[in-house]
Amino acid sequence: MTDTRHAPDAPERGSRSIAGASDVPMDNRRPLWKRIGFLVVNVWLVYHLFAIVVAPASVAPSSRLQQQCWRCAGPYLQTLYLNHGWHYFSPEPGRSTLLAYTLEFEDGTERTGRLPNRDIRPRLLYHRYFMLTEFLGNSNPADQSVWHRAYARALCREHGAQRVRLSRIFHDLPLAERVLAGGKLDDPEFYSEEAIGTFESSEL
Amino acid sequence: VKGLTAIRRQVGRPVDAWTSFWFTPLDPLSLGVCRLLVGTMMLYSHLVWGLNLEGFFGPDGWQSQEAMQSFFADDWFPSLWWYVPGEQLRVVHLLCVVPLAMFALGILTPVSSVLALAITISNSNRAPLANYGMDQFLVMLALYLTIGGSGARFSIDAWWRRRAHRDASQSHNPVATSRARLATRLIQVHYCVIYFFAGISKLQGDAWWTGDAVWLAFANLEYQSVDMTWLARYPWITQIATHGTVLWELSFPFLVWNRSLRPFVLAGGIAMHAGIGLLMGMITFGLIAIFGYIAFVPPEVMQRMAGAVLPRRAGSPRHRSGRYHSDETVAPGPFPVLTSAAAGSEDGRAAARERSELPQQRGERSLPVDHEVEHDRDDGEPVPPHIGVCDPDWKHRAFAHYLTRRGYIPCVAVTPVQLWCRVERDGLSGAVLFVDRLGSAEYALLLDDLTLSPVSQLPVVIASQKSTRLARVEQLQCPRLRTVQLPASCREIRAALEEVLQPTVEPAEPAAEAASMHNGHAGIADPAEAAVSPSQPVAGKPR
Repeated sequence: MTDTRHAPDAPERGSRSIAGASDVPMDNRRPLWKRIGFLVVNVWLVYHLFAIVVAPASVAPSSRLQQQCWRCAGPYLQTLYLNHGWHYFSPEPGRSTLLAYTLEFEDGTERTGRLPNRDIRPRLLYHRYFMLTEFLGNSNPADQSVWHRAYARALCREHGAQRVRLSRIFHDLPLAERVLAGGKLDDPEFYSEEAIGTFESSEL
Repeated sequence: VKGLTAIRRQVGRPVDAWTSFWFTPLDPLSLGVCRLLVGTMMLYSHLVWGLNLEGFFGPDGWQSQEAMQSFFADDWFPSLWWYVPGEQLRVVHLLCVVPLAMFALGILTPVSSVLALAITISNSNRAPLANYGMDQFLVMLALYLTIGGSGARFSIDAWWRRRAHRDASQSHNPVATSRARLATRLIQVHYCVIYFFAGISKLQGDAWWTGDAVWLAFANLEYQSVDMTWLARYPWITQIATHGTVLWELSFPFLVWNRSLRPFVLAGGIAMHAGIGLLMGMITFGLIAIFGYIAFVPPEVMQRMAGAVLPRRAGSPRHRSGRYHSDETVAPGPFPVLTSAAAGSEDGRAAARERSELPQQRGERSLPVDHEVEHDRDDGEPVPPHIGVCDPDWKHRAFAHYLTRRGYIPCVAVTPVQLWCRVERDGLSGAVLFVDRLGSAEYALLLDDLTLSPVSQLPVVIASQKSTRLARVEQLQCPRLRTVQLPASCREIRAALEEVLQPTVEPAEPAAEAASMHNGHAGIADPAEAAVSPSQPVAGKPR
């Protein structure tokens, strides 16, 4: 992976020494395989640069051209896990989505919980659960039934429950004026709940 | 023919610029430091996945295989976890710790880096819904660190290689590589892409225009790790932060390439990511984003920073050059190149007083002299002299090859500072500097180094097409400097080099001689003699 070009002050590639000296034969020409390798690296580099620009550029809303470009780069990006929009907190910071659950056990007891739970440690693990629940608020509800079942099954498996009731909780963001007026971030008025359903462990 | 040549040159320039930008060899020191930090984060992330392995990677976990296949039917998420049975998850997870730890420490890095990258990609692709910005940066940096051969520096591999070479009484080869430059550039360019698109995507949201976005981010209880609701009383703070974030992100790709502005641009990014990490509970995300900034730190700066942090090893060239130089203007510190301002400082004078004492006078064992090590090996065979070649354009490789054929060992550096690092680290016998590409200020600094710092004792040939530059060298009246007017042949440059390498000037006094011996260059005179031994132009087209 080295340069195959020669010094600009050398009159001909591969035939003269630097600065046109004639007393020392200089051979700047690399072996053929090296030149081919360098060419391949450059082609890959151009494609890679194209791909890492296309990934964020093709995030909706995007033109048909951008989507066509993404088709050229998508598999490559996905293979290397580079298919990201890098759209942090955009178009603007939005409300959070949480998952509330009620577990029912064989002995008739119930246990309620909420994800993400701020008691989860380490913080990285907390964020992983948070991203799972955020997905429920970011994706199309019509496509989410498969995830509801998956989440319900995971909860039943982890806790050994027989049945689980799930609901989504949306936590709206208060404006600064509301906080100045005495509101708190966890006031009930900022929460709204939406039932998802009840899932039997045996049917999942 | 002239027209064709002109066209060829015009076409060649952008190609040369492209090649120079992406492939000019670079010391992978910064990548090595980055590898240690990013590798540690990869290991930590992997261990955290393991806290609920069944839940995240298991076939019946939160992202079950059934759900993934039905929801992402058109997408492909390559991951080794698809092929691991549920009962084997723990074993495979523990096995994966090994290459990740090896990568972080730099053990068998060419292999462990590929494995670590594959594992990290597998983790992220198996649980895409549980990923966030930290994972995106992690994989991106891991990819480029793998490409860049980041195990060449700051690693167990490098330590092992050094030890092996020391046992064989050999000097290890220069480590500047094209792949290190390529990886560094890719990180830099990718960061530019990230921030640019992060910036323009924010322009779609009203809150980023009204100045409320940062408030909304802090008002998110699920992110919050520190109560920042007091900001409601000071909306101007959140508005400045909001607009500043957008402006900084949009300007990053343009300003970070300016060397003068780069520290400020990076400082802004560190402040932003540190704020996200500390106040919004995303420590790992903030850290990994900041780790990538190391790619923007030149290796020579990293060398100085590492030298300030790491203890000096007694007997190392850095140790010797920092303590026993005869040059009275050397300031303390790991890096021997000094400015005149540093030379005049109190610390510099104290260090000079310390250096004026011979090791024997302090009751210390005399350290081996580099040139003795080089020329008096146990087997009696002389070791070829190491010659530094400073080639900013990376256009005179032919001269380096020529030196090799003539029995020298060329050590190519891109910048004078890198060359001085080589002098400090390996004790070069002499150097040839092609200075046409250097800027005026850079060239002036180079001349300062050649007269004020320990490298003034290094026999140096300066080659340039510009007669004014050579004239400035001659005005220095330094006996260890020769000039060569380009164009000149390799033989002529070598002739100048060999002449300047000859120990023609005897040391003025024993103390100076002993001190100069410890500088690692045979027969090098005290720089004070430069005033009485004017430089003699010797090359084919002498000045």
